[in-house]
Amino acid sequence: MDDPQAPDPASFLPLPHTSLDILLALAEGESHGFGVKRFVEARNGRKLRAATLYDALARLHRDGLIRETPSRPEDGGTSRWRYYVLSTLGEAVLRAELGRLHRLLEFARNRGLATEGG
Amino acid sequence: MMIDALTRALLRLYPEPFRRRFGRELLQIWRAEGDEARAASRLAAARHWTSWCFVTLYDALLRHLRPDPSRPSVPADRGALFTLDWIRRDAAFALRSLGRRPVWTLSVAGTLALGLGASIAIFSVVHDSLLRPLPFDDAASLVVVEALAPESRRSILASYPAYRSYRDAQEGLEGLDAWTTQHATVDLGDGPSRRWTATASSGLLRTLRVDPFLGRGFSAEDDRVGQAPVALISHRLWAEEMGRLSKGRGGAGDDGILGRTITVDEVQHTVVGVLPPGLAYPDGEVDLWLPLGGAPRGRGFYYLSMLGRLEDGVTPQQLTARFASFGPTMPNGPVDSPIDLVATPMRENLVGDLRPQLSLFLAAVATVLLIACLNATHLILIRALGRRRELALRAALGAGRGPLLRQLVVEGCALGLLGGILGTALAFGILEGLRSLGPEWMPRPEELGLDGTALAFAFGLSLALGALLGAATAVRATADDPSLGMTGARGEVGGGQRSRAALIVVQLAGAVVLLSTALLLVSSYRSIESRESGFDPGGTLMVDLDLPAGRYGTRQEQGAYYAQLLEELRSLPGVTAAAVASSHPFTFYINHGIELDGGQDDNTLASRVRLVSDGYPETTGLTVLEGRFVEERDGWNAVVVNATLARRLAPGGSAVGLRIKLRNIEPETWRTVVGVVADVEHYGRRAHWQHAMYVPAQGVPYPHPMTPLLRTEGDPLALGPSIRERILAVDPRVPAGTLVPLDDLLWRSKSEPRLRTTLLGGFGALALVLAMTGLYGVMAFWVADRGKEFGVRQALGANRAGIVGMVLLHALGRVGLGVGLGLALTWPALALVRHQIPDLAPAEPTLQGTAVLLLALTALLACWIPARRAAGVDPITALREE
Repeated sequence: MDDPQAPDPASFLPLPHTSLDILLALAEGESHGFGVKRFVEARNGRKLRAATLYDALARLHRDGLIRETPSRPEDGGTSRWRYYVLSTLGEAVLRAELGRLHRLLEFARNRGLATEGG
Repeated sequence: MMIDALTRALLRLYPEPFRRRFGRELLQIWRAEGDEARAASRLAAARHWTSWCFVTLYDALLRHLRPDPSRPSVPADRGALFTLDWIRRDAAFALRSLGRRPVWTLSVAGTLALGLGASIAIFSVVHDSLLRPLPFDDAASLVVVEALAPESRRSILASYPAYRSYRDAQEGLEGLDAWTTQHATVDLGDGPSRRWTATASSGLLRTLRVDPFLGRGFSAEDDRVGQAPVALISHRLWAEEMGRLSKGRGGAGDDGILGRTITVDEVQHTVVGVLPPGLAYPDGEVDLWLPLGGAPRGRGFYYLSMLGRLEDGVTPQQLTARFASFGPTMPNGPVDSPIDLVATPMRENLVGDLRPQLSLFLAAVATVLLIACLNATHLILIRALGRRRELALRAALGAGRGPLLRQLVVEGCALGLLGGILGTALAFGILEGLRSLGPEWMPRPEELGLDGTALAFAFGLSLALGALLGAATAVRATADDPSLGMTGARGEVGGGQRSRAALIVVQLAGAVVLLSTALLLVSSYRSIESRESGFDPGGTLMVDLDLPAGRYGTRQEQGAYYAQLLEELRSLPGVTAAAVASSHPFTFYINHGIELDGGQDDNTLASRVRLVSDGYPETTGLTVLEGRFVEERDGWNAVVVNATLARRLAPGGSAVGLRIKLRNIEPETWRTVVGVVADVEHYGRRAHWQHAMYVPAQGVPYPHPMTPLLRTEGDPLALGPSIRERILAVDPRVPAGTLVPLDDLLWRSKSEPRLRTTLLGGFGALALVLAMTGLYGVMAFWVADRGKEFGVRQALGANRAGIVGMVLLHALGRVGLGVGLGLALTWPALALVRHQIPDLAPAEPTLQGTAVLLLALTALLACWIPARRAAGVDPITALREE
C-alpha cells in the first residue's frame, strides 16, 4: 500500500521515457508486463525489449509508483502474470510529468519551435 | 519442444535475481509473441527467434555488467545493437569476398554440404526414433510387459487367460492392459470398407492418459462377454464421416456420430466415443477400437500385447523382479509352464534393437563429416595462405590480429551456412530416398522428415562448424611472423606441412574404416540375397480378404466358402495353382505347444502353425525336403514340419514318422509327421519364430480366417480385375482388398538389411570420394608450393621420371601411413559393428583386401596427376618467379 510519507512527486522528474510509457499504459487500468509491452509498442510503433520493460517495472515498483495487485482479472484463467496498477504516488508523478511536458511544449510553442500538431 | 528448451537455457544467461523475478514472464512473452509470429509466417517466426536470441544475449550481458537495474543508465532502446552491426558489416564483407571467388566458395560449401547433408538426414532419423518424446503424458512410466519364451528368451504374445492372471496378480502397476490389432470390414452406412482395428481392454485409454475427443472411453462392463457391442472411432474416421455428411467442414461440435450404429464384421456396434486426433498407439493407422469383450478367450490363442503404467517410484527393473515373485505361468494345456514376464519402458520397446544400427549410422556419418571438414579446412587454409601477403600487409599497417581473426571466423560461418543450406537440400533428398527404401523398420516411419528441430540442428551445426573452421584456419594463417608473408616467399610455408600430412592420414584412415564397414554390410546383404528363401515367390499373388465373422462364423461355413473360392480361382485362365493359408509365408498367427510321442515332457516345445489347403506348396513354391506335404484329407492325422523343427524333434535323424500332439486342442490326437519342408527365411528385426508347422485347415477345431494365394503365369497383377470379379462371384458382400505379389513382400522383408547396407555403402563411397579429392588437393598444393624447387632440380639435371618418382614417394609415405592406420582401426571397428549387429554374415577378406588395395591405388593416382605437373614445370619460368 502507499507509503503515508510519500515522497514529493516532483523528485522523480523528469521520468525516463520507458517509465513514462509504462505509467501511461497503467493509467488505462490494471495490466501485466505483457499487456504493458503491447500497449507501449502499439502506441510508439516500435519494439520495447522485454528486459528493459522489466527493469523499469522493477524500478517503478521499488520507488512505489506502481504496486502489484493480488487480484487476477480473468484472462482465460491460465494467468501466471503479475498484475500492476498505478499507486497514488504513481498517479501524482504521472500528472506531474505530463504537466512538466505540457509546460515544456508551451514554452517551445511560444518561441515558434513547435507547431500545433506536435 | 527443443526450441522451448533452448530458450529456457538462454534465459539462464540473465543474472540470477533478475531471472528469478521475471524469467517466467519473459518466457511467456516469448511464447505468446512466437505464436503470433508463427501464425503470421515462417519467416516472421524465424525472425522472432533470432532477434530474441540476440536480444537476450545482449540484455543478459548488459545486466551482468550493470547489475543494478534500478540505476538509470544508458538508455537501452537505441535501435540496432552495435554487436549486430559489426556482425552485419563483417558478414557483408565476407559475402562480397566469397562472391568474388564463386568456384572456390562452391567447392568449400559443396564439400561441407556432403558431410552436413548426411549428418542432418541421419540426425533427423535418430531424433525421430530416439529423442523425440512419445506423445503421451508421463510417457516414461509406460511399460510394455512381455512374456519371454522359456528357452529362446524371445518375446511371445499372451493369451487372454494368461493376461487375466498377470493382470490380477501384478503389483506395482496402475493397471495392466492388453490389445491386439487386425483388419475389420466396417460399414458406417456408406458401404463396407476395410479398416485397421484395435481390440483393447477397457483401461488402455486411461493407462495412456488419453481422453476421448468426444463421448466416453470403454468401461469395465464393455470388457465382459455378452455386452452390447460398442466401438470407438478414430478422429480421422470421424472427420471423414463428418465431411461426408456435411460436404464441407464438419460443423463445430457436431457429435451426431455418438450413439450411431455401425457394422463391424457384420455385427452391429454402437459408437460411444471418438478418439483424440493423432493418437499414435497402438499405431497411427488404427481407425477403430473395439473392447476386448468380444475377443477370443481360449487358452491356445496367443495374440495380446500388454501395456501398463508404473506406479510412482517403481522402476521397470523392480516390476520385473515383482513379476518373478508371483511366478507367472503360461496357461498351456494341462500343465501351466512357468514363464518370465519382463517390463521394458515403452520407448525402449519401440527402439531397443534399433539403437545399435542408429549408432552405426551416427558413427559413419560423423566420419564422413570429419573427412569433409578436413577437406574444407585445407581449402580454406590454402586460400588464407594465398592471402598471407594481404593479411601480413594489414597486420603490418597496424590491424590487430583480433579483427583479422574475426573476419575469417565470420567468413567461415558464411561458408558453413552456405554448406548447411545445400546440405539441408541434400538431406531432404536422402530422407526421400530412405522413404522409398522402405522405412518399415523405423518405430514411427510416418514421422520421418525434417522438422523444426532437425532444421535447428542443421543451422546450429553448420554455423558451429563454419566458425570452427574459420577460427582454426585463422589461427594458422595469422600465426606466422608477418614479415615472412611480406617477402612473398614461397616454399616457406613448411609449418603447414605436418598438419597437412596429418590431414591426409586422418582422412585416409577414416575412409578405410568406413569402406571396410560398408563392405562388411554389403557382403552380409549379398549372402542374404543369395540365400535360399525356402520358397519361390515368383508370380505368386496374395489376396487380402476378410471373411465377415458374423456370416461365416463356423468352420463349416468358412470351409465351404474357401472351397468354392478356390474352385473359382483355379478355373481362371492364367492361374496355375491356388491355395488358402492362415497366413502368408512371412508371418504366422497361430502358436501351439507340442508334445512329442516318447519325448520328454517339455513345456517349452512350441511351434508356429500355418493352416493350409491343398495346393499350398505348388502355389508358393515351398520346397519339400523329405516325405510329402499334407493334404486336406489328412485332417487331424498328419502335419509337416520345417527343417528347424525337424532338427529339434529328431536331432540327427529323420523326423518323418514321429508322432506329436498339438496342445490346447480338444480332442488331443496323435498326428504323424509326414514330411519336412525348407525353412522360410525371415530377415526382419521382429521375425522371432523358428519352428514352423503346416497343418491341414481341417485339422484344428476352430475356424480361422484364411489368405488366398495364387500362382500365375506372367505378370500376376495383370489378372487383378478378373480375380476380384471371381471373388465377388462367390459372395458379393465379400470384396477383395489389396493384391500383393509375394515378391513385394519378400523385398519388404529385407528392407532393414538393405537399408543399412545402402546407407553405409553410400557413406563409404562418399568418404572415399572426399578423401581422394582431399588427397589430390593436398598433393596439388604441395607440388605448386614447391614448383621452384622442381624447376631448380630440373635445371640441375634431374629427369622427369625422377621428379614424378620423388613426388610419389613423398605421397606414398602419407598414403601408407593413412591406410595402415585405417587398417589398424578397421579390426576393432568391425568387431564393434559385429557385436552390435550380431546377425551379420562373415566378412570376405579378399573383398576387403581388394577394396583397400584399390583405395591405395586411387590414392596414388590422385598423387600422380600433381606429380606429372611437377615434372612439367619449366625450369626457366620457375626460376624467373623468384
